[in-house]
Amino acid sequence: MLRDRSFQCVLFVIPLALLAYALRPETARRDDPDGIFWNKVSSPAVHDVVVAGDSRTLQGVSPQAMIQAGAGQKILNFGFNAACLNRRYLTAAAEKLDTGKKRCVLVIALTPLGLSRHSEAASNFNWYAKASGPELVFRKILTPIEHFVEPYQFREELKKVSVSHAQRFPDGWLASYVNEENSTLMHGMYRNILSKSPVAPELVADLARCIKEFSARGIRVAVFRMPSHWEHQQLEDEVSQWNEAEMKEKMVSAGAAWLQFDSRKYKYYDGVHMQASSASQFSADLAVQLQAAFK
Amino acid sequence: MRFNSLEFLVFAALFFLIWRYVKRNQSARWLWIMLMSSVFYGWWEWSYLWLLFVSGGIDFVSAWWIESFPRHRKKLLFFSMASNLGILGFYKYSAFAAENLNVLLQPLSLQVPIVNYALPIGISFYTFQSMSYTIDVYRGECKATRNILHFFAGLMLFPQLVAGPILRARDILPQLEPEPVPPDEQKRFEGLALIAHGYFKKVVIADNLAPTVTAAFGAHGLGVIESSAYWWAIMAMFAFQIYCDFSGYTDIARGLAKWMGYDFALNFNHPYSAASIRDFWSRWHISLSTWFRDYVYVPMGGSRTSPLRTHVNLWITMILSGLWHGASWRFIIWGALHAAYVSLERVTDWPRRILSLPLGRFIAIAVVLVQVLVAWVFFRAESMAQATGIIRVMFSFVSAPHDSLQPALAFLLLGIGYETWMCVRVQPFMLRTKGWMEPAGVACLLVAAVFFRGHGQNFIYFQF
Repeated sequence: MLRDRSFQCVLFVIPLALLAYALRPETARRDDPDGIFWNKVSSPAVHDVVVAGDSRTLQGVSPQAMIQAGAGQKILNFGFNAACLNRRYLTAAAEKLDTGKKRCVLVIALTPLGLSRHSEAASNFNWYAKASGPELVFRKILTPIEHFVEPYQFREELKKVSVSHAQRFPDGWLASYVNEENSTLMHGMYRNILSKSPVAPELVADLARCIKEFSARGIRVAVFRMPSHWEHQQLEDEVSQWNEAEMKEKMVSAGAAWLQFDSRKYKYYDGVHMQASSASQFSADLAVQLQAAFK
Repeated sequence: MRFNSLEFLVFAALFFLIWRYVKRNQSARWLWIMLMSSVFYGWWEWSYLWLLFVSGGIDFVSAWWIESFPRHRKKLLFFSMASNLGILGFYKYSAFAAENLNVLLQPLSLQVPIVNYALPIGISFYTFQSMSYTIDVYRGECKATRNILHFFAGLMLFPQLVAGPILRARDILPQLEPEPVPPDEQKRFEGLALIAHGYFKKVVIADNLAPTVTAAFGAHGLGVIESSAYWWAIMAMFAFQIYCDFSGYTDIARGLAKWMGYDFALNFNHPYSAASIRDFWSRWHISLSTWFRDYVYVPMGGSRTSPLRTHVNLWITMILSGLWHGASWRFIIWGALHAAYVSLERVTDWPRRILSLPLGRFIAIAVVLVQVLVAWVFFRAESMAQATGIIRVMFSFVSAPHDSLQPALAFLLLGIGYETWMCVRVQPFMLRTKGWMEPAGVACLLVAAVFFRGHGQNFIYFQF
């Protein structure tokens, strides 16, 4: 068999492929964050903390940093782009918790956009949630293979990517490293969407009902408004009909713990999404607050 | 289904897994080829599969009857050709014909409705292959098969189904008849090497050149960039993109055929090392150029008639060859340009004169390349206005700032280096190097095809 050149070829391919994989810099990988989401939807119910929210959560919460700050042993960032905090999504998030454990916590990061009718239609989660069981198993097998064989990035954009790039983590965090910050970058888009599609009272009411149901099943729920740049927060307050005091009251009366953060502590590259360093800091702060809330 | 897709890897694994068992039985073997080729084709669009069966069915019946009823052979041949060309014309050329007819009818204030049908993938390939079978039977160069599974297994054999090489029934049908000999070590490795070279050419060179070429031609609404160097570089990139794309496909097809126990003829033989345009056409898309030679050029008299008639035959053949590629005046001009080049060669005999000079071969290759690149402009341009604009800039020798051509330039150099290496040192490439170098080289190509692949693009020739 060793004289067979096709077999010899396979023997050469293995070390060469491992070498190519080892030498491939993170920044030279194509930005294809699809696998991270397949990982989330196919993740088993083994977590003691699951953090649900939209792209701000996806980029703003590092489970690893939370574990280091003592918030739990197994934490999942269940954030999806444009996720709507509706029953379907929250139920899927809660299903990732190991409810056999006494101290499992569902953390819900609220945003006005996540409670709007717009995100109900645009939620990226909808697309992944449609996948069938066999497809998820197939994806589960495929994702590590895809990760291994991701090609080197040669395009001209590499120059930009090397200073502004995203890094995916298996725990669901998408870390963003962006060179230039612009706190008003998203103003136009948010004003446009939220003025047409403000916070939907029905979604808020259903969120409160979900919290009650989760609490009845022994799941502890923590809720907070995801921090953003103060200018952006001001814009959201103006156009989205967000009433923080009222929201807090509804969530607390449903059985959730309300957490409060100082948004000025963190850096946002576009006014809403956190830089990776701030996400680590915020995650540590979140862990501390969770421990304080559920002593 | 594309060779450069995950689905194809699964498909090929399944095909060869079952192939080991079904190949012993003739009918099972042919049925398995038909079934899997239908899946391969239908993956793109199931609804056009019937066309393949209709086109092939017409030729199967026509060829059979040509042998059975010799008195009606001419009528049957006419029926077969009219049906095949009718189907091809309907799907590929009807909109183009209507557009041009409307221009002619404009003074009479008449209009023919223009209907654009989706072009069934690979229609030009399988129609020509199917037609050549009937013509060969008519000429007595091939025996008509009486087994419809045998015929369709040859026509549909998936490696060549959608982008060739255009197989002749007289070559493939006899191969399909006996149980294929299991490929020995040499054949297995040759197959693997062909597949590795094919993937390397397609996904590393062609796919990494494609974005720059597409961007250059896609910006036509913004006007043509006024830089000669830029357009010469872009055309060189396109020349290598289309060559590596198409020859990569046929290498993969030939490699897969070898693994099945069959042999497909060479379709590309280093065309950019040609020292004359006639030489170029004996190296580029050989299965198509020989098809036109055998079924169009030679029947018209070829070069065994008067010099003027030879030129006319040549022009008709080349223009039809251009039209085969697509329904557009750009393809017609591309064919006509090549006809003009060959006519000029016949009149002046410039290649022989240049080859007698010191370094003559290199000069001749350069002259051929310039001609080929100019013709490629018409083949690739989005419109006639863009093509003429690019030609003007290419020969104005002006310089203007333009976008960086990196990293495509690096892949162009890689393509030139690879092709030079293959052309000069390794002919045929498997036979020269010995020992562990061969499998190591093939392994490098396979790893490069995985880690240095460009964004997955469809094969260019699928559209024909």
